Amino acid sequence: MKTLIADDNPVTRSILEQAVRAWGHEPTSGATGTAALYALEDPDGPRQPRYLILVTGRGGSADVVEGLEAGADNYVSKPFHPMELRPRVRAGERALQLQRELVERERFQRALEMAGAVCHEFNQPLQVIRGWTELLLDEAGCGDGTALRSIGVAVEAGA
Amino acid sequence: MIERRVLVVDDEESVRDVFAAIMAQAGYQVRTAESGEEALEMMRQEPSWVLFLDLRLPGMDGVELCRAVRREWPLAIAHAVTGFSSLFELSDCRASGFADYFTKPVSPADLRAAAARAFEKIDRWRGRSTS
Repeated sequence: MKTLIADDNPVTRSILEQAVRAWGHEPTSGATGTAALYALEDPDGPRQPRYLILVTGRGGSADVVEGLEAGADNYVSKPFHPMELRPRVRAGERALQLQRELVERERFQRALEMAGAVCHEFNQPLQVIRGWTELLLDEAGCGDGTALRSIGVAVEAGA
Repeated sequence: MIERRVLVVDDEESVRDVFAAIMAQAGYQVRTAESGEEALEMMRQEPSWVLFLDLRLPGMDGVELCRAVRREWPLAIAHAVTGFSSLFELSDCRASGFADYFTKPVSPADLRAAAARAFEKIDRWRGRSTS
């Protein structure tokens, strides 16, 4: 999982990078949020789903609340042991996995609906053709001009 | 024996026409409607006991129509006829009370067999309730 670390303290950055790498992720870091973002992805490209963990130093709950209100998903307060961060990173992995699955399911659903609409367009005229043809084959008195004309119209619609 | 009235609901006229011809040829009294709302109106005037409902209808769809029919006429037997089948749709159909499910293009013989089976059931149920 691509992981972005933004912290102005190089020591903290280095500790977090090592920890994240040890957990099997690919860290990218920067001293400011903007620098880190540029390092991670094309700013003009499509926005990827993210899980944002706030690392707060000042310890005030007002900061935490403000960060969470602004869109952070989780937080840890300094000082913290990297192991405290690990379950939060895992929670992030789960959240992102669910988001990906949701996007995938929506895409599948859309494809299915489109296929359904196409099938419907074909099957309506085919129904008319099959119905009248079999009735004619039954030779049960449906062989007037209406039946043949309907077959012609249906074939045209299906073509 | 109950009156052999069949109601066909499909938004496309050409499909209504051919289903009506198939049912008429087998000796049923057929009526057709192009929407769920029109079908319910016809049912209230004179109920049909066997129904063939397209699932994609403008306004109320086939599943909603089936639920409404089953609520007001529990004895009526409805069949779903759809231009496109999916597993989700099939479970919805069963849950809403459809007796059977056909994918277009369905053969006239299958439709007639379904109607015959449905009337046989209704006669049996009614025979039991009056005897």
